[in-house]
Amino acid sequence: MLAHFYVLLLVINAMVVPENQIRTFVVIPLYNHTATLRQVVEAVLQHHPLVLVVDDGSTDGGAEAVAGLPVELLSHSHNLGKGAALHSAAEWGLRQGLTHMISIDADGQHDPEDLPKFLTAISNNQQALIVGYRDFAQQSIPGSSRFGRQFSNFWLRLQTGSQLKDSQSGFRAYPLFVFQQLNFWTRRYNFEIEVLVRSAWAGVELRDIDISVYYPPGDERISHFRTFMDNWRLTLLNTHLTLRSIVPWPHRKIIELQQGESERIKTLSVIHPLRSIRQLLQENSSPKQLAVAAGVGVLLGALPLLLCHTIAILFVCGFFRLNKVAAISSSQLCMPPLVPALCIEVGYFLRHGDWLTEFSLQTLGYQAMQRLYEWLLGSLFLAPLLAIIVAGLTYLLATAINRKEESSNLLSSSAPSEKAARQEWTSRSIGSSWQHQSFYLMIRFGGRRAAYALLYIVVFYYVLLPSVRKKCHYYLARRFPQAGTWARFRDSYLMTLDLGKVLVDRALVGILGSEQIQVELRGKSELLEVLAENKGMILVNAHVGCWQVAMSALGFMNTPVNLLMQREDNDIDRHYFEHAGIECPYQIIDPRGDLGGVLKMVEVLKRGEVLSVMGDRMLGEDRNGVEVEFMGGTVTMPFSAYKLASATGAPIVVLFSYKIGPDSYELKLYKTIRVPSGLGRGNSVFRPYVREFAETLEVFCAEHPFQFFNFFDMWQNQPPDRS
Amino acid sequence: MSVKEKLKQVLIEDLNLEDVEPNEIEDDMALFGDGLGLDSLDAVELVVIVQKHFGVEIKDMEEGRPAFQTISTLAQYIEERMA
Repeated sequence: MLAHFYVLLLVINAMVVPENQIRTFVVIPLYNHTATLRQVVEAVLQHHPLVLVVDDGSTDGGAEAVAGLPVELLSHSHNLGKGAALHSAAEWGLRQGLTHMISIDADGQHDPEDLPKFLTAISNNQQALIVGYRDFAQQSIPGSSRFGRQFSNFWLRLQTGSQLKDSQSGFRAYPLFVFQQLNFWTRRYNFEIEVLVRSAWAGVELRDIDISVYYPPGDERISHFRTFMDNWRLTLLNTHLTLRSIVPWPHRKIIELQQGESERIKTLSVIHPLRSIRQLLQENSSPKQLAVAAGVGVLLGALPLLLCHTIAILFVCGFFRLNKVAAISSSQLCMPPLVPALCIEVGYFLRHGDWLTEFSLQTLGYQAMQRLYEWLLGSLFLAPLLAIIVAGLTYLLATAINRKEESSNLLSSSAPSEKAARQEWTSRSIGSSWQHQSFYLMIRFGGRRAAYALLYIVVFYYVLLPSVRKKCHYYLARRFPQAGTWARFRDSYLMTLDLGKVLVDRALVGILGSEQIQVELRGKSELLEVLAENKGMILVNAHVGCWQVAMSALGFMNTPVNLLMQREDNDIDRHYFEHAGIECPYQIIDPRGDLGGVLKMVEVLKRGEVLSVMGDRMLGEDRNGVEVEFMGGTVTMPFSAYKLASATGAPIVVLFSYKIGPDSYELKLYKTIRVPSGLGRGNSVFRPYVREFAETLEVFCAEHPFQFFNFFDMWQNQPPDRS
Repeated sequence: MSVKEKLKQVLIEDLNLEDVEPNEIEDDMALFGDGLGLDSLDAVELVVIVQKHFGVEIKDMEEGRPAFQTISTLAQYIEERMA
């Protein structure tokens, strides 16, 4: 709020006046009101020294009436309209270095005694557009005027969400930057409506102040409001403004002009609904507002409004100033057939005390009107219920997103590097919190099939995004260098799909239990032989298959397993034991601990335990990497494991897991690497052993091309070998 | 030769610390980070060195960690265990 205020001040200072000064003038637009003009001008001069009369092509002598009075004069050669007169006045004011103009009608209906109230209101809020409110209750005012005003106030609120008590009043104070920054279509009476709507859209506050009212008796009063033409113009304007207002495209905000407005618009796009919603969340909606909007979307979406949902939602949102995108997207939850069918069932039950089980031409065709009635009945019951549920969920998720945004905002970005590329993608960063949550819900209520079904669609959507395909490309370009566009697209889909399945399986095991997945171990005897040496064991794995699920096949070993693993505070993704709410079955060694956890690792190996590390990717701040050849390029892989092996004599076992069926995995011992002791210091001495691992990973990629989950450029822009 | 001096010598030899003379290593210089400039993986080597040259096996790292501060703390740890 305060920040906004300062921005405002800056903008205004830069635009209009060198210092924070208010310079006002009074403008009297004149069109054939000679009879009352002189009286009005004289009264205005009592309260304000700077008065401008704009004669908008009067044919009754016009400004001659003010001859001799100390006023400024502008005149149009022919009648252009009240809006045009106000524009001319604003241009004049800007040329004079003025900041605000107060418009007062020439017909004497406004009392210049009220001018000081406007001056006070301006100094209280320099950025507001202030509109005088005529309290009709005190006077005998024609009913048509009352109705007209209510009607006009309603449209204003519908289009902007802003409320004014008297949107038709011509007694107003305009900040002149409004004329400088905004484009208006209209030049006649309808300008007075348009300026309110566009100003409100641009972030200018609309304010009421009470003024006195004097309506001369009918015959005395001359209005130039031509009923048919002006009403027609008003209708056209209203139609345009209303249509514009329901488009959820942001309005250009005057007050944020210098604050990267263009960037903000760029980030809202149809193909990035999530980012857009997140953007909207930052922009103008609190989680609470978003929740209300989502609730309203579902409430209206569930009602049998037949093809009018969207329009109804947009109007309601405009009226109550709710987030339109949130409401529309949540209303999609009510798309046929599920919610309407539910509503019909509930309605049927309410009427007949029984569920509708017969689906035939008779019940769905000939009795369509009955079903429609039941739909309405059921929706009256279900709509509020669903709305409350959805609003509650939205609130929780929006709060979570907000918290995440805040924490990630604190992290500063560093120069792009392989490390940055690596951190850009982890299995934990794909999808946002609510998406993970919805998969968890799917698994809970629908099991694996339901979650997979959702996955096939979601992954397809993901792969449509060029950014996701690019992430798949780094690896796929080396694995399938000859692939054409379509093959590459298919491969990206398969690769991302396999990752999704693995994540689902992992959650599945946690939520529904380990019996959901069968894991077969290949190379058990060899593994037992290695363990029998009693020198400990270092398991080196990679980002392949689903290692966490596959690890359950190692339960027979009866040897404690230690994982080198770095946990982030805001990990979205959960490990299976967290789903199950059980204690982590492994001892976790954090590489950020003392001396990178190295001493701890030596200790467990000396005790003859198993240490499990990732071999394909540098972890966190680890600088102990060595460059090795991998898939025709050079990559940096960590060598700590090999050094530990050398120092402790523990053998290295390369174990990779892979999915072989809907509910089955294999865990295979691919290779045993033995690193001799006394190799010494420096990274190059370990290169041959790291290369053995890289070779093994190449073999794996040949066998299971879509289960190596590498979505960053580990080759650092070396051109793939096409030979 | 005192434990401290032997320690300095074997560190230089086994860790291939180039351009460092035993007398350049101060007793209270930090082994890791700014002082001697060893990195975390050198701790592995250090465990091996202590066992190889002094016959002292560091098994419990809760004990070992405080010893890995400086030459003095490590020498003291070794002396206590050798006795």
